[in-house]
Amino acid sequence: MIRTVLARLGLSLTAALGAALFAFLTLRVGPGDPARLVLGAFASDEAVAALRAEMGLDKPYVVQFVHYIADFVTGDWGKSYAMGEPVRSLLADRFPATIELGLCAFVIAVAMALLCGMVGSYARRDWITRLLRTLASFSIGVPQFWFGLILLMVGFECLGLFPGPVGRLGFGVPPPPSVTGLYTVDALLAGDLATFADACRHLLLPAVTLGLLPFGFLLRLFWANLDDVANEPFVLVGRSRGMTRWQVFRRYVVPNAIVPTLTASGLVLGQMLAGSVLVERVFNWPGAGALVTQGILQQDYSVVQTFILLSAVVYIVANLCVDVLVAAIDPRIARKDTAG
Amino acid sequence: MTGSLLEIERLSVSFGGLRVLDDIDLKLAPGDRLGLVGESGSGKSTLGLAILGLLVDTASVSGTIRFAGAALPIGDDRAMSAIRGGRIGFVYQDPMGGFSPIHTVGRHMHHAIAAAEPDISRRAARERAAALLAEVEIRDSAARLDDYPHQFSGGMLQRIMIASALAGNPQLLIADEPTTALDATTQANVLRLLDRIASARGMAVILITHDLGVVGRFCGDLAVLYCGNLVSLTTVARAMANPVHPYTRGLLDARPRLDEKPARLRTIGGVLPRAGAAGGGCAFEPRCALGRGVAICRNERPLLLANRSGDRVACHLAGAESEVAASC
Amino acid sequence: MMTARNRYGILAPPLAMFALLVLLTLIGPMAWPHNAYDMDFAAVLAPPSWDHPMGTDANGRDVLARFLDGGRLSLLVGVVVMVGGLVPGALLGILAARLGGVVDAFVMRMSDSIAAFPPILLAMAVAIGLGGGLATAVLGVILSTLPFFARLMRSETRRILAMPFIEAARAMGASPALIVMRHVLPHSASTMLVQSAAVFGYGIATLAGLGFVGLGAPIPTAEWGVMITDGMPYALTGQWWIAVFPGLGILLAVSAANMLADRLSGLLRGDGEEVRP
Repeated sequence: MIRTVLARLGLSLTAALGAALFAFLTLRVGPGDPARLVLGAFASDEAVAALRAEMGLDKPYVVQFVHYIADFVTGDWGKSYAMGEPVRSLLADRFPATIELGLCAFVIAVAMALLCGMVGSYARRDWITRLLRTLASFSIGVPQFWFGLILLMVGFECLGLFPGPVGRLGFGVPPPPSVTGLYTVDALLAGDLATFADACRHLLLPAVTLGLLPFGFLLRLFWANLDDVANEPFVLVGRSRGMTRWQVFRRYVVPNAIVPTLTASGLVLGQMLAGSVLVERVFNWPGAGALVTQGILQQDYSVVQTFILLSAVVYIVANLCVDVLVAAIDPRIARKDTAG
Repeated sequence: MTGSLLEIERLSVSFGGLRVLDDIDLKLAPGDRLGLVGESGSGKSTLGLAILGLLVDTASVSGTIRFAGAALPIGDDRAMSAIRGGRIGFVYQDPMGGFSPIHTVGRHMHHAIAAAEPDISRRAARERAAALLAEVEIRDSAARLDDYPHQFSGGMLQRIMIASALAGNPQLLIADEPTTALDATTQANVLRLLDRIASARGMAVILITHDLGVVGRFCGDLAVLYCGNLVSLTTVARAMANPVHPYTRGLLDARPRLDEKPARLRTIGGVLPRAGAAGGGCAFEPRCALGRGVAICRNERPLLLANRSGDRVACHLAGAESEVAASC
Repeated sequence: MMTARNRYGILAPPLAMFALLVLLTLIGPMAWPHNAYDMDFAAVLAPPSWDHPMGTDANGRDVLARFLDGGRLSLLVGVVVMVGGLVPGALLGILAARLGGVVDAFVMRMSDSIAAFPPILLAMAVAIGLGGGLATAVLGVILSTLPFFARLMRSETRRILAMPFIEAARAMGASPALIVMRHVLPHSASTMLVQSAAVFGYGIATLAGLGFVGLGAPIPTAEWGVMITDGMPYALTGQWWIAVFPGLGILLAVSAANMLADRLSGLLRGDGEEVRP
């Protein structure tokens, strides 16, 4: 068990180091001069040179890389020159909104994928399977940001059921007292049901949009896993013991199929962070993703680059956690190592 | 015959127009032990699963199967669930694949016991499970209920599989190649165990195998399947002494023997034709030492008829066979 | 038994969708009287009509003409990403499997590192680092597909090199290069084809996403992602057509690619091993 975890940790560390190297290379080795980018095309050469020295760009690449990693690990992520604030505080302000959106989307995606996967694999009617297969293909084929726009057109403009792209709360609704930074949770903590309902109404469409791709991905994976497990001999043996199709499905097929599906949830997290950049723009959701698009449009790239490297690190850590978790749960891995 | 436990009449199974079992008739009395023998693809596993009602959805089944006097509700999965486990038990060939890897052996046993007896308490079920494991000679059985399948050897798992098949006290056990995946010593042990349990419980057994040695040690009757057809139904003793059907003889000759000099293994020439591919004649004709090229064998399907000694054989040349065999 | 023709018949729908797209986008612009860039300020934000079946945008440009142009660009990008990822990715995979040791470890760790970035964010990083524009965006997308091609090709190569007939070929004196050409490439072609079809759709979708945040094609270009951005301010005020049609185009192209990949891998028995989510 411990050996498995250590080996996995080593792989994660090299991957993170490689990711940092890659991010560093795109930043420094490309033709663009970061100092020139900050100051603009009309700045004097002296000003650019001064800034280069200030940013440490005149030092050798190896030294720069070591500084880059040290800065990243200590949370010194530089300064946004367009907004005049440290990147870290900018992101910290915006992350709760992204986390709230992401969590909600994740819950919707996983719950719906598990439900639809089980129905699709268990049902024996053709039209049900065909419907769900179409839904799965649609979810992974549709451009997320466009789908969000369609949801807004239908849910807000045509039916008037949902609020427009105005962010996390309606106009004039004050945010609840901040505890977690998640408006829905904070509103509940404050016992303010009206604010809670308003936050939910604003959250639903963007969360469905953001969850769509992970939903389709997990659905296909889970479904395939369920179908695979259904062909295992222990299912036949279970049936021969007098268990009904449903009992065998619930007791043996689903638990065996869920383990490899959950392993993929780390992958989904990466999709969510990337998706939030596109989806937050559509809904004017004031999260970190919207900050990234804003940074791109204003050519203020320090926020963008930090977010990108952070997303890689988050992805690596999440996958590490999932693997360790699976190793701890799966009796074959957990016991083998303690015995040997 | 009165008091049959199992009566199969004109059972046919096909998959998408491909007939894998063709008009099977078979009877089994309580406590009987029938060896069901054939090459891979002869339809022997399909016959076992058909009795259990566990063929895949795409299979189309015709004919009747009567169990303990009543026709089995083949098309009704719910009604069949009540028969499976409680009346008919099943042992699968691959003990490793027969257990869900993430559930303890105790969970498997509990599921099997609860399926046969839904109202049983958790504690009583656990006691039953431990008793069943003890019956199949698992030492320290109560403690080992909490172990996972990968912590057992293949032979132990196969014994546990037998124990879970016994959970509902079935009158008939269908064992599909129960010893194929095991090494020779373990094989002998599992067979001996199965023998003891079946005798003690008066339980009938259908042993599906391709190994005539196993049949000889364990069974009273022998049914031979070839290409979805039942070609011979005799007692094991008579089949061993004087195999009437040329295919049975071929199978017997192909057995490796310890009492002979290890010459080349004898084989039956040719390959098993695709199920349903046979034309009008005997399916075995192209490979048959006696009938190859004989007009009647090539053109007419032989019927399963009783001969003088009471055995049933489907062969045009079965009468002539003994003389021919003697002259070889 | 199903005949071979029946089996491959299931590829017809996705292939027909592609044929339709290719025909439309190649011949369409020649046959259609409107140009993707001509502005007509007398017909700004005109709803769909016989003259403009997809309406016009805020600059009075014909949306259909832009749709067709954008489609051609998207299909081209799909092909470029597919080939650009497949060739070096497969090469890396073969090298890793053939040479093993340090080379293998290096390739695998490198692809772990690249795969850690969510693909579209990786493409963003590359596009920004190399100065922006369509070419750098495409390069970024290609780079993000490398790990998937490399890993798949590596496992395929190892699988094939372990087959008995490779031993025979070696015994007969075939050089490693010959073995790769004669055996590894043909035997892995079908698997790589499945992956390539999926990557084709992925390339189109990702480039559109980059265009949407302003990192893909520069502004006046008729590109589906950019067109959706153009249409966004008008989507909720009744002028739905500007953003809806390019999105449909992406949906159609990506779905056709995914469907092709799925059905191909179904034909090859066993679902595709690593098809892009």
